[in-house]
Amino acid sequence: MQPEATKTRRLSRFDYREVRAALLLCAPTAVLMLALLVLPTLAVFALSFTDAELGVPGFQFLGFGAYADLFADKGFIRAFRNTTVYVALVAPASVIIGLVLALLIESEVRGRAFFRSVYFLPVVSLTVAMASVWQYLMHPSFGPMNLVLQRFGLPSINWLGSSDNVLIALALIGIWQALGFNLVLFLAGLTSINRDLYAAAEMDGVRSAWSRFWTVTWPMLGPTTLFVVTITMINAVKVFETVATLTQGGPSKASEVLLYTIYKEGFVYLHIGVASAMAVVFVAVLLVLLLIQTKVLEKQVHYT
Amino acid sequence: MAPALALKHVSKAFGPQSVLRDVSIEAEAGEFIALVGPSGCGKSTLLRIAAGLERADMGQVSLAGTDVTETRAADRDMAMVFQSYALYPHLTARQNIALPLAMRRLSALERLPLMGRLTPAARAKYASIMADVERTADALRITELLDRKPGEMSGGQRQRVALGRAIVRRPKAFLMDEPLSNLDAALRVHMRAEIVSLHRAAGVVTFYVTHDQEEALGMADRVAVMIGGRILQIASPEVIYKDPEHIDVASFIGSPKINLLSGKIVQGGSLFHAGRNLFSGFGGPEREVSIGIRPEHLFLSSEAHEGSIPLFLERLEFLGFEVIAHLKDQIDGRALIARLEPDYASDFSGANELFASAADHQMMVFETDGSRVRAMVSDAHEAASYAA
Amino acid sequence: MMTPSSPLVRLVRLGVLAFGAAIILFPYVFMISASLKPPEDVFSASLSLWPEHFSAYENYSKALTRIPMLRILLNGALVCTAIVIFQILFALPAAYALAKLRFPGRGLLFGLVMLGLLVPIHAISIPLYAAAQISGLLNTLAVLVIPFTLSVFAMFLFRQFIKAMPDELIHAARMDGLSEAAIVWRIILPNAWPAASAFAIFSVVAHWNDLYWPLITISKTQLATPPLGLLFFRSAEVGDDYGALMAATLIVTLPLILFFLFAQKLFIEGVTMTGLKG
Repeated sequence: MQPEATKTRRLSRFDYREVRAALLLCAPTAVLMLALLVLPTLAVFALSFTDAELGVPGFQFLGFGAYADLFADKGFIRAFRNTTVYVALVAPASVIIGLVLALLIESEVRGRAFFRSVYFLPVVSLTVAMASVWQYLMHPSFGPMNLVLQRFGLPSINWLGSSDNVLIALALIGIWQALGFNLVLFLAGLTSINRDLYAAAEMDGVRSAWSRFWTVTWPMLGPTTLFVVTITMINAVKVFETVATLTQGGPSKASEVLLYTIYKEGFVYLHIGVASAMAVVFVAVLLVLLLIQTKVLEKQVHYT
Repeated sequence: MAPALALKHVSKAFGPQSVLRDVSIEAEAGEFIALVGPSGCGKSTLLRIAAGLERADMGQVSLAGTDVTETRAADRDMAMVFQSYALYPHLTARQNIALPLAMRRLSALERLPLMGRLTPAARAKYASIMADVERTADALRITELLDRKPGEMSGGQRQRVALGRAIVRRPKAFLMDEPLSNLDAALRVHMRAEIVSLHRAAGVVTFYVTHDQEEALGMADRVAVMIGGRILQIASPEVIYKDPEHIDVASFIGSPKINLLSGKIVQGGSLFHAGRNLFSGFGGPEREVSIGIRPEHLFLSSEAHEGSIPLFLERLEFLGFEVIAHLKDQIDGRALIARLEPDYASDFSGANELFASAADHQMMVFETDGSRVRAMVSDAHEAASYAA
Repeated sequence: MMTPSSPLVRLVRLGVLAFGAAIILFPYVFMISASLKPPEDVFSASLSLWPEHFSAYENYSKALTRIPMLRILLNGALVCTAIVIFQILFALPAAYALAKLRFPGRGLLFGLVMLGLLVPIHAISIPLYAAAQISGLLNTLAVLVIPFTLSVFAMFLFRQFIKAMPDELIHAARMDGLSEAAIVWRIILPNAWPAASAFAIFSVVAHWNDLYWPLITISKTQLATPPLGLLFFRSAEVGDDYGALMAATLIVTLPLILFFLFAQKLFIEGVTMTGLKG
């Protein structure tokens, strides 16, 4: 009988059994990631440097020239500008109003659940559907919004039909939809604040609701506020359904937003090279937003 | 002279649940009163009513003779130390301690971060505030911590900063709500001494809430025992321990818990336990009572004598400096505990039957409703022992 | 709070909240009202909510028949359910591995998760569409499900949640002889139920609402999901038949709203949980 070979265990950080199990558990996900994330991302990146068109054989490699063309393209610049205006309208308003409403609801003992549910309804309502409803509401001649304005002796507004107003109209719809979500998040943040802090503030002589807000509430809401602002801005940049349903980028391209432009370039005009470049820029914008917010605001955020 | 801090006939209920029933405490200037009782018995609520953070349904709060029942907490000039410290996490220790001073001495404009310090008057106020903060930090030995935030400190350090925030503005009363409960045992013992010496230095009336009876007895000038929303007794620690007015006070105070035996007072005033006559001198009709004997007062012997109670010895627990004897009453089966000197206990190591007795004045008798009943004192010697 | 607010303050507060609630409900009220009106009433430009002529039957039957509405709702339900099931199926084991197991490549995988969080489906839609076209999957329900079976958000959320679970639970299971896979489905899933249900709600709402992907991959009305179906309805409409349109929007919006109203706590808790972990 052969002597048992001395088992020399290699100094390994990993347990073989654990590694094997982990790899098995991750295998399906890894495959999906490769197929649905990594390869497509690389493909988009590669395509962005070309002038490829779907259905047209052969394409040219343009290199960084593709991006130069893109930034010179008036249509793209316009889409960029429109999206920025939209975000600037929707994000601050829905965050601030959401916070104010959350503060009001939080101090209200009864009816809290009722108001919270009412304000949350738009979040669970189909965007395309509610956009259609808003289209009816905003109809220049018989839409209830203008009828109400007329009742108060104010002039009717051409909401969706005027290139000056369309972004504002879309922003209104966007704020209406985003409020409830921000409200619920702020409410959660507010209720998680240690009640003793308010008691301590009272003992310290902090008398008015205003001082209480700045001494305790606002600092303690730091993480929540950061999250809400980030999510709101990212969702605003991703605006698509309302534009696709109501305006298709019009009137006169006044509501052409980034995602809609990508859609049109890629799937209507089939310029997939250009659309890919736009997509890369789109992702870059999101990345920048995320980075700015985590870096700048994290300094002021206090995690207990 | 009016008491420094008084609560009169305070009652409070939360919905159907009555939490405080006709509670009254009057504290003199500079007194340290410990409010002790099991968790959830309303002590914290009483403290918050004293502070003005809660409103009583009935009753009055007065500070140095002035009725402050309708005054809001911020105007009462009392300071509170919380169990969770309640330090502002986004401010440094320095800013935490300075805040109460800033709120009181600076106007809203002067409190603004940068612009507040434009005028020389404002700058002078800031300087005096910082001087006060530093003086307090020095007294508490936390000067090196002043520029740290609460998240960067240990529990004990945070508690000192919380104390600093309370002390710095020299209030008329200190209210402390279980401030040491979140600290580990060793730190707790150390901080007890610090709080007592801080109290002496400040000379301000203090209400101190705790569920730890040892803490209450060790720190206070007077102890108020609160059970079931009522104050059962307010007295010095010694009297609370040696001469409780109520069986619940006797049971709550003292560790290990007091031994309770069943007893009977018969016609003629003798006290019986399980047929044995313990001693006499009680008035009133024949009735059932409870007899309380503290573990250290239970005198054990291996021989029976008159009036001694036969017990089974279950086991001896060796604690080093003393031995705990776990016993069982032979007649009614109740578990009893005695504390013994180690040498003394070695006599009993083999035995399984012992006989217990206690001095007359060390047996506390309670009616079925919990109230204390005392024998009529005829002996001058016994009278002296009651005067403790 | 310490000092209860004066009745006046309370009144103002309630007033503001009620006014806000009215604004939020404004579209719903008019949606219902218009769905009951015939075109003449709609065009009559009056603010009255109750219709002159009751046209509910006409409007709703148009909504149900002009496009195969019920079929479309069913598509939506099937697709969303399938997506959620696959998402959890794939994400949970991987999240467990990321959270509790040590293996080479863990950092890389987590980095890819972060990458995935950054890149929305819209950005990579072009190559995915090309792949779908080549494999002949356009205009199938499968193409609506497959790209979403990978959810890095689920992986991220579950990982955070599982990380917070005590190791002892897993050690005990191992000592009882469970394989790692068994641990995932028998131990982790039941304990991660709050995270799983929160995520499920999040996913259902997001995919029920999704227009972009169905828009580019589906052209047959039979296979549309609710958002796309509504878009088809709009283009199938002759003129401004708002009554029928409102009826259609109501039908399409109702399922999720009813679900929300019945499971409110679940929804709200789900949102707050994703918020706290996010």
